[in-house]
Amino acid sequence: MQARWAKILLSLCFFVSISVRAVAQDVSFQASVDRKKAGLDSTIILDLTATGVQNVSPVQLPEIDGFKSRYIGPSTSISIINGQQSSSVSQKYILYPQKTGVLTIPAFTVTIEGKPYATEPIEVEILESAPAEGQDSAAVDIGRPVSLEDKAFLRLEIPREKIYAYERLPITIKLYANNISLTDIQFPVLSQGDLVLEDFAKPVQYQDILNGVSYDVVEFNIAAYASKAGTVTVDPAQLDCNVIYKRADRRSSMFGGLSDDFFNDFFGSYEKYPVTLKSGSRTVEVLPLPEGAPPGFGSAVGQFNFEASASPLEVNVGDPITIKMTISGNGDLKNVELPAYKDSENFKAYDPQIKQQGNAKTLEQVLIPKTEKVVHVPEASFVYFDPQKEAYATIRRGPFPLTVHPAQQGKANIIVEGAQDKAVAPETFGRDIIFIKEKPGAFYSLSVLLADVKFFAAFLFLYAAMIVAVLVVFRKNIRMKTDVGYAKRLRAPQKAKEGLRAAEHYLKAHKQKEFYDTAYKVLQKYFAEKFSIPEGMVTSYDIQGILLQRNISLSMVGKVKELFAVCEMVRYGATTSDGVAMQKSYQALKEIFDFFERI
Amino acid sequence: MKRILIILAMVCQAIWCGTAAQGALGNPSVKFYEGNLSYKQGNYEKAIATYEEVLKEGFASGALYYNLGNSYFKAQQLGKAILSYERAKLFIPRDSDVQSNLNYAMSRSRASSTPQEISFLKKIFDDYKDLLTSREMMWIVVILYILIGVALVCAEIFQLSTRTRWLLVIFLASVTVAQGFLWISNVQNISRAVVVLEDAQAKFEPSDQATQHFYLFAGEKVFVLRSEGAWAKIQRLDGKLGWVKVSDVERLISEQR
Repeated sequence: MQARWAKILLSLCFFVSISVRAVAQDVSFQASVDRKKAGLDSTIILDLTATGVQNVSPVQLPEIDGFKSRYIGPSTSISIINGQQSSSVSQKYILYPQKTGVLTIPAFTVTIEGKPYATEPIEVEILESAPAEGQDSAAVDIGRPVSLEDKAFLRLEIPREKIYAYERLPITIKLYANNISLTDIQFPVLSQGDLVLEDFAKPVQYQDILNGVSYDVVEFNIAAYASKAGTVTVDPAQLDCNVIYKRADRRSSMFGGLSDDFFNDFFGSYEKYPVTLKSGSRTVEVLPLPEGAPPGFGSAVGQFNFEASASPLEVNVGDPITIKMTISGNGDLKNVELPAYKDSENFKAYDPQIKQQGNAKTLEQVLIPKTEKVVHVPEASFVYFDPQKEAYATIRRGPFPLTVHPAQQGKANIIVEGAQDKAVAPETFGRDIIFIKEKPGAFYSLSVLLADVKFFAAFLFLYAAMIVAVLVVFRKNIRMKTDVGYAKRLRAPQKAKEGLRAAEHYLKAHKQKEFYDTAYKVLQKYFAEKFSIPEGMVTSYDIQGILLQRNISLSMVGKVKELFAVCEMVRYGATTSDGVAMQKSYQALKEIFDFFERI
Repeated sequence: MKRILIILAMVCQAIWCGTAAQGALGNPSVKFYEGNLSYKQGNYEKAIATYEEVLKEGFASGALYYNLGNSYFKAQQLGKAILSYERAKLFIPRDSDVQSNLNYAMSRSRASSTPQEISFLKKIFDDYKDLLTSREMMWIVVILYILIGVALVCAEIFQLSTRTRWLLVIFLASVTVAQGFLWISNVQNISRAVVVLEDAQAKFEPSDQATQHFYLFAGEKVFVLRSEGAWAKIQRLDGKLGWVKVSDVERLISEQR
């Protein structure tokens, strides 16, 4: 509720300079000024307002000590609120201060519709120059020394100093603003303390004159309850809003304050600063409820009205009788209990339906007469404490005379066609829960949620691993088919292993020529596939250049070149080799493959 | 690849065996029918005791909580009844009987706090969460997750453009993560609670001597924010905060379960 109204108020911006007259039914005549402190070089606007009339002749101002005056003109205001029309006429004057000191604007009299009316005198203080900011006591906190005491303040009003426990206590918080633009006005924040607070009502905006100064007022109303006796303190209310003013010169100090000249600079740019207004605190004496509460008293405190009815009043045994009760009034209805009927030997009482709407709480209950001997629905009584009368009160309704006929067992069988509507009408008996379920459904272990999480975590991991594996294998297969160099590079180690096995076989068989022939071919094929070059290019003469181009260490290049040379010499019969030399060559071949598989 | 499939099959088998083992722990159906019999005989206290016995043995079902709610309702324990209906909704959220009885029980509650206004998007998410059980939500996450994998493989097979692949995967991954988030938040939301005492008082401080803040009535839904000894800090639906005794409220998903 508060949030909704706060949103509405966020867009609410009101300007004090706009003349809106107060709404009133009776005729009244009041004087007000736009400020109570001014400099010799500034002016004061005097406003003489007659409410409840539509036409008043301008007042001829007498000589006012310390002022020169000039009549500006009238303004008329007509407003219709809640269907009631009110009007006011305002006559405005400019007062030019002529001397310093505390000056008094005297009372003015006027005759309206043959009756004389007079204003109250107003005291104003005239200084040498317009009051500098910071001279007044600060009533706001905007993080810098700015005084707005005369421009905006908050008041906490409580109509009574003594209340009873559970009695409704109306609290009013008023925001007064004079010659200042406020925006983004939030709902006041009121500490709960020992009180239980209701929601704020819709705020009301109007104009009021306080100590001769005209203010725009936003009034917030809220109700509170105290549940225990004692002295209760209503802490200060706080209200957040933003002040809008025009900045005269960007180069001048933007923290200069909120003086009139400052505001009157039309060419200044707008600035917006958050302010927090605080009210004073109040104390309330909460009295305990008097002893001797009548039976049936709950905690209803206030002024209430209680109504009850029963219908129909002529029924058969077993037919429903609907009881309706309403409690309305001024009090904490949430804690008010309606006097519902209970099961008795004469009636079966169903559970009541209770609703609360606004200032009324209603009850609907179905009673079923058990016997035709019943002659009335018993009396219903509501007990409450009236704090105005300081006494307990009891409102009684009923008894309601009742005619009950014996139940007609065969009634359904003898009902003639066309009367079916009447026959089905009694089916609208109260309401109850739907019957229990016959089958238990699927039972779950209470730790099933945890098991679900474990299952989910396991699945998450395994499925992700599976998808990654599938994608890797798939991509590898595709590349093997499309990238010949890649395929050869991948096949090179396999071929090397096969060649090593063949060479090992010839080594063990002491087949010298076959061994070196195999070793040479394996080396040639391995480097050709590894570096994607034709096999014919891999010879003992070219291998050094091929390897050096690929930044292979000189020792490894020498080892490869030496093996190639040994192989060629043995293959072409230039020399022979014994078993030890073959073993050495085989080891060299293995080391070469190991080295190139690691890079 | 074959190895991965074998491991996956073994894990599924282990989980299935675990569930089957849980089912063999006892026979809660017998007690359930006993509870039903007591209810039909009007012996609601005995029905409550029987149903609670099944719960203590570590089993639960939507129908069990529903019948328990009915029993509590008939035994004039409105708070416990609403709590049981809310728990039944966790298992059978689309059951009209549960919703009907819950609505009726709520109408009997004196709780009057109005929920705070929530955004349209949050309301949609909340309604969606109320529509599904946590298990159903988990399976939706699983299916979406499988779809991501299938989409990735299909994108590879049909050689979709890189942009299309990213769009597809980002979309599916976003939906999966959102659904996963909803599921986890549903499972782990242990703050939801119901007032089980007929009239409870929320205080400003966790102390018997503290000033009363506001009333709580049986069946009122609250959020338990934290506990301190025998006191729990709760938030009412209208946003008001206060301290109540731990025994005054009961969580929908209790921590020990």
